[in-house]
Amino acid sequence: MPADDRPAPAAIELIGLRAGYGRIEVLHGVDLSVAAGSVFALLGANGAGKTTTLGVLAGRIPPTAGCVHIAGVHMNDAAPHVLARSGVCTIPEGRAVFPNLTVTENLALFGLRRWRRDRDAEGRAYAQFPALATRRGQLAGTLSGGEQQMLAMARALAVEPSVLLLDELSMGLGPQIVDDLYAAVRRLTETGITVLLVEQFAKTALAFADGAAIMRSGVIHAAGRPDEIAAALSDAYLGTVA
Amino acid sequence: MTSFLAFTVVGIVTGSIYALAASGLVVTYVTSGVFNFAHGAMGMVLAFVYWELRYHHHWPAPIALVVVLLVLAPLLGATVERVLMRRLSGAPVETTLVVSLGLLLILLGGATVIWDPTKSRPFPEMFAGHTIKVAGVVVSWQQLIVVLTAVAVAALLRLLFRRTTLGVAMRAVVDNRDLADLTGMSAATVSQLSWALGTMLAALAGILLASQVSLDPFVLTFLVVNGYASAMVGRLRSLPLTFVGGLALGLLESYAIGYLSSGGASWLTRLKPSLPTVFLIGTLLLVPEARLRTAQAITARTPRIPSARAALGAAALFVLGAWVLSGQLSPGNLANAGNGVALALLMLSIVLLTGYSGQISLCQFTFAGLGAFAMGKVAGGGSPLGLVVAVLITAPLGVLVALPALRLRGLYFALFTLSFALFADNVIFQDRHVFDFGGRLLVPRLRLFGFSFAGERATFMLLVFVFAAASLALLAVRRGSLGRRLAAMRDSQAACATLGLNLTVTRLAVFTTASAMAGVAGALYGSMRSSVGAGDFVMLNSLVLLLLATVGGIATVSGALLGGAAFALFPVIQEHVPWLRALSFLGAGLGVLSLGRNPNGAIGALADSVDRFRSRLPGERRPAPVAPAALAPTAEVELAR
Repeated sequence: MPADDRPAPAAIELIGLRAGYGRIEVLHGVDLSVAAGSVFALLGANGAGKTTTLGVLAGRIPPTAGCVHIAGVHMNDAAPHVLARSGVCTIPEGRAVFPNLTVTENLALFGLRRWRRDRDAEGRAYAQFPALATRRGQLAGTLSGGEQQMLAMARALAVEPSVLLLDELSMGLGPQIVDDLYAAVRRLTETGITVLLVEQFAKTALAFADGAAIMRSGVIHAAGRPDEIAAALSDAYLGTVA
Repeated sequence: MTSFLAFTVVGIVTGSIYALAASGLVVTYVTSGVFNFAHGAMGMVLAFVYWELRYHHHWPAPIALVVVLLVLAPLLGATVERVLMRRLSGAPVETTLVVSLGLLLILLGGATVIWDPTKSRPFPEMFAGHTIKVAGVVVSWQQLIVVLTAVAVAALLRLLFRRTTLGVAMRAVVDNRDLADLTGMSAATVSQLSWALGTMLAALAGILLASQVSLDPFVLTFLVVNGYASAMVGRLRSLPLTFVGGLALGLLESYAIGYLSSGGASWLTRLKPSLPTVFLIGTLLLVPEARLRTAQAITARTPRIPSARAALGAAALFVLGAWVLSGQLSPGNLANAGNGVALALLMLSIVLLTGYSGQISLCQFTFAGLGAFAMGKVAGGGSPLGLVVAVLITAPLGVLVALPALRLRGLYFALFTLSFALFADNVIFQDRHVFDFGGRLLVPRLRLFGFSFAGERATFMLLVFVFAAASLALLAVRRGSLGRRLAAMRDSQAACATLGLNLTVTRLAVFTTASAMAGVAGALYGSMRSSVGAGDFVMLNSLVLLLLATVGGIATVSGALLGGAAFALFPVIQEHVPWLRALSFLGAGLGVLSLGRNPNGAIGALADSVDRFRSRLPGERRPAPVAPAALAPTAEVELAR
């Protein structure tokens, strides 16, 4: 866990978290603490429970036991939109855009605060991803995979969240676009937000993170600084070593 | 020339109402992904409420209008969303279809219980007597109001969806509901607002239609089929095109009534009321082929398929039980039981079509009617030739219906079969060569190998035997490679296509087989009842049939038996409770609402309880059944993207 001497509560804290789908339990007591303002990587093989952990944090999967604390506030039963309004921004895996809305309409929704449109947010998104600016009127579903992921990322810029949950940002994308996207994440972290990312490219993630944890069969297998984790990586997880 | 202008004015006015009704349908579809078959029924109920307030309790018109349009209509819409539709997000098209059909039947049944349809209720025009002259044509104030309302609604809707964040949010919710939640809006609240808005439009159209046509529950509920046609012109998405479609249909109808009435040809006069249906068929055929979608959320667990030995044992037990029971029943009860088995046989065709392969047909009773017709006309003296002809008529007709519609999937296919059923109701069945208007056709009992099935018990046992044999055959199909292919097709058409399965041929074969099964069932149903008429095979009965099959358990043979028994039981109960009109509508509709608990119907629920009971028994270590929600919903991705 990243060293943090301040008594401020951790941005994300999971205590003995259990969750699953119906009668299948996937998380068997996850303990995790992510300090405010840090970038934390969650690694592990397929089926280890990473996406489920993010699903619980986003309010999409209700926990069956344990606690979810966001900035010290108990958030076990909060609905997804309540969590989103309280500053938790989730970019789910896959292309998280509205395919039948135009780029502009997508951005207008992302920056939604009390039903008022936030034109500054649109401006920030276009400045960050100029490729989107040329496609304002186009339906998001007709964008390329990379552009769709940029649009999804633009949401994080629009809402200025305090916690950003990124699930498999690089899935199915070319290395150049992945670099661009991570550059955008890096710029975001400079504003002091907390990032929890799930990534298959373990090395990319570790180079980027302040702290990391390896999940295995629904529990945290190892956690610590990236260099400590790198050693434990190969025996726990045969990921793509990019 | 003036008559042409007069017809044009009438056409524009009716077209405006169609457009209003259709726009409400489009609003709910675009914003919730549910094609609301009950849209017309909701408008009908609210029009009745308006009549009740305005003419029964003598409220002033503006107050009654405000109460109905701005208070009761949004309340009804929001309640329907909260109670019924919210649970359906991510559900397959079959489920949403069946639930909205259930709502239609409940509203229709409820309205006929509250407002006796045999009583006439005058619903005068607004500002009756006030007219103006436009280009030499007298136009009533009401007509003017209708057109102006349509224009205003069109403009306001356009503004809402293109210019306001709420409108964009409404479209976003149907695009990707989970993601919408993640952006900080409450998808549930947005959906509820959409339903409130859609129901307001339904109420508006219902009240305007009632003053224009008549306050009749059936007429108002099904006039919205005309709305379906106009909505289909806009492909259920585009509001401007929907308005164009409404106007085109209104004009077409008005000219047809004006100029075709003098023709005198009997089939042409019958064609007129089904003009919107023909229009709907036409627009559906122009709908482009749907793109294949990969798997959606799995909401129903496939019921266990019994082994050949278990099935054979159960069938033998069923036949034996029926034989013993039939010895005890009076002829009247025997006839009722026979009807139940015949209807269960008809439901088996739905088990094959919908339960196994996931296609929805709303015209199974139409095929049954044609089967009964064949039996009545050909099987003189009970010749089995009647059954052969029933198959010879219904199977090719099944091909004919399915062939142009094979490109269509889910909802569009269901609408196509609905149009066919309505067309048959109006044009085919009322033909004097078929059943004739209000006429009855005598259907003889079968005579096989010198043995006559003239007696009630003999025909009953014949039906029982045919049902058992057909069930065994269906289960054998389900266990075999064709059954696996159908299950695969139901799960993911896209995955099937990548495996190299020819879906078109499979779908055609299944639909044709189901049509022939319905034909045979209809022939036997007819001979059980001895005489049938056009009213026995109307489209509404096909709806009840589908719903009861679903309530019983659409993917199981035993579910069909249960559904058939319920279908036959309703008229028997109704005889004892005459005030409860339209009991079968209410029963089927209410039954569907219970489906939220178990998508596999009553039989599925029963099987689950047996499983749970067994897992508690000591020594029995069977893995606990996985709840439907256990299978994580996969995002709906279009392959073509």
